[in-house]
Amino acid sequence: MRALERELRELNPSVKLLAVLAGVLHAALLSSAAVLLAHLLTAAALVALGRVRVRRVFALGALATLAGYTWVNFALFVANLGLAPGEALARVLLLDARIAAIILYSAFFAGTTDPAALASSLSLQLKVPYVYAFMSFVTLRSAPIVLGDLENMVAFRRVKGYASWRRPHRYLLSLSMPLLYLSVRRAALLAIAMESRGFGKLPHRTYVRPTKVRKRDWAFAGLYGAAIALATAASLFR
Amino acid sequence: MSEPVVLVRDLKVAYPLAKGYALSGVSFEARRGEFVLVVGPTGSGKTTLLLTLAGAIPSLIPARVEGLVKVAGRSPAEEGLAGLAGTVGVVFQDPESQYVMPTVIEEAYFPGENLALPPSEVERRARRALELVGLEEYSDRRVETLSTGLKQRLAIASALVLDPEVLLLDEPTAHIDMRTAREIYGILGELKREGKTVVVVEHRVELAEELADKVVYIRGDGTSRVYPSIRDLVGEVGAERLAAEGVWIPPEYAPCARGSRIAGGPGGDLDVEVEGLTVRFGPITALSDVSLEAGRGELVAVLGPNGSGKTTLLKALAGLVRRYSGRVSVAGGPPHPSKVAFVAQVPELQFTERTVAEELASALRSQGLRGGEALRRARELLEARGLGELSDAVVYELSQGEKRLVSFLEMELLERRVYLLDEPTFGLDMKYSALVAAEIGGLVKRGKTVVLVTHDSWLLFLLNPRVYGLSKGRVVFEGDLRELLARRGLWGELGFLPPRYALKLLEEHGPEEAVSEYSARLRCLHEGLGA
Repeated sequence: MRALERELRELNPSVKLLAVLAGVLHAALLSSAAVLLAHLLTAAALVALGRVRVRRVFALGALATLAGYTWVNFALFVANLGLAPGEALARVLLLDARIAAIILYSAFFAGTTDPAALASSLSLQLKVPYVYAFMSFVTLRSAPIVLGDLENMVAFRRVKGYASWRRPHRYLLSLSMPLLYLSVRRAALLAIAMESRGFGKLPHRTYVRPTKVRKRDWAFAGLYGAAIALATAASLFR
Repeated sequence: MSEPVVLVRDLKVAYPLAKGYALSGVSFEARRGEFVLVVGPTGSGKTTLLLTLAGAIPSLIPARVEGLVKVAGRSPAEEGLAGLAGTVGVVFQDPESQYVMPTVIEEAYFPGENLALPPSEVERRARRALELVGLEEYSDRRVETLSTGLKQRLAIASALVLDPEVLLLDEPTAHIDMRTAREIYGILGELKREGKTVVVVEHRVELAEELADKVVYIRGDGTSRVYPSIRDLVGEVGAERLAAEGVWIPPEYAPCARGSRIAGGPGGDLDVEVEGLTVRFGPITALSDVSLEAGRGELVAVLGPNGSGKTTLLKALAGLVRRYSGRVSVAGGPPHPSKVAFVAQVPELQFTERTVAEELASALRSQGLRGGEALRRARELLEARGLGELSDAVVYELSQGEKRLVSFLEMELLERRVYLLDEPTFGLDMKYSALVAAEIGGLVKRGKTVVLVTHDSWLLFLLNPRVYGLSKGRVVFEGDLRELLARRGLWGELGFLPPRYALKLLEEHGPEEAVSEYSARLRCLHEGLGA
């Protein structure tokens, strides 16, 4: 299991990205139960084998969204389209499977991809200009810092007793201003630090540890493609 | 005589929409291997000077630049920041905002890769830079796992990879303990001997004084004058005036000595009791079996190197860390955010409103006061503290020192029994440090229990607290400052180093004289600031 986890984490990020995007697109376009079930199982297996750690708050957020989505769609199918409850439920579950598969694919990609390797790979394998490739990486790197700021701000508001259920918009506004201020200040400093180290001076750069497409990437793409093709075939010849 | 590597003649810089010039006529030059120390009050334009030398102004930060600026014979205004990469290395005060890559070695590769050097050359230069700053054994570590001091070393290494002729540093030790700060200046001394030209802005003047070949003093109005040394600067301008402007003058230059400490002393009934506190975050043990006590009206200081668990301890006392083992009692019961006032290291995290008066009024409103009345009381308080002109200022537009004072006043208004202060003087100039120290003294005099986390050893001499020393999450020292001074073997573990003059007094006359003489001289300077 550990070896599989390592292999999944060391996949070329561009190969992984293309595979996941193809999967998401496939799941979005085809609505057969066999296809969606295959995507759901594949995505769940990837998350499990990659031992993706999802923060509780994100997991709860995803589950709450899914539950709300299920309830609203079920109500719409029954009340507006006049479907029988059994049929409405079957359709809603298919839609849920699609959403869940997309969430799981995203979790797999975000949880098993090194942002720095993604930037290198976008630049080397997909030929994205490195300045843009690194922008995506720097944005991802900033996320935990912004989350840390947010946690501290909430904590200090608790100390101050600053919370009013009657005016929740004021509370949100009180968080957004300092968050914006600190983020802009940090971004400006980081931009100066990066440029002073030659970032953007030349149109190209070298890589001491370049990302490459290796055998395991071909194997992953082949296996994943075969699974999707099998599911598609099953849905056609049913 | 060699040509100057840095040449600045009558430099004027004006930001768009600003009323006047941020710098209005700065001139100095530096030759190969020279070390230039830039001092001046907060807001005098020291950082603007460094950003202009680096080419960040006006290429990244819009501003009008007049006068002559040459760095290694090149024009920063024309070539911009990226254009000067390889000629100029820049290091800022906050290491968190400077690193880009996930691991130490990748961060050291980053500049060489950007300049498209062959991979073998990038590797060679990166290894050498890490060796220069003593980070070679950390090369495979993730940067976020390093202490703040090690991150700052990495920032210096990353700047050195391109072998720049000029190194520009903006308060490079503001975030780190005194011992690590001295080590970093040791590295800068080596670089100077290697022939690098170093220009450094530094509040903690005593760190850079011995290395400085010249001192550029930027006045509050943005003009400048060059002195051969701090002694000459003090001789001409006067220690009290420099201190009043916020320049961190080492206390040995103080013209007088004053008695009686402003805080400290034994406490009453216990307001803070911690027994066997252990806090774990996943596999990391942040605090292990920590015990601590603070009586009512007592000042307790917690020392320790970066990452020793000091902030976690404060958060546990504030009831912001819920999962722990052991016993924590605050103000007679379990810890809760409503029982304490907590002054954050980053004041912006506390702010909820737009203007200073509204910010203070929001604290009063949480005490039950109505809107109009709260605002009136907030304005009165600001007037009483001599800060009336700040009432309608936008909190985010204040100087760092003013922000810290506002965050302090806001917490004072909460009128809690226990005050938790996380690095309340970090990054402040002498004027605002003195004002914050006076506020801490005021809290203790009013019977508040204060737990203070600090890297600033001078604060201990001034406030005379009971001291707890943390190392790797454990309490390794408990006692007063004299006892700490006597236990030199512990200093390294605690990241503690007395200020230079205090150390000299300690070596010549012992702990008693070191404490009384150093604090008396510091108080002399502080009294001139109205603190």
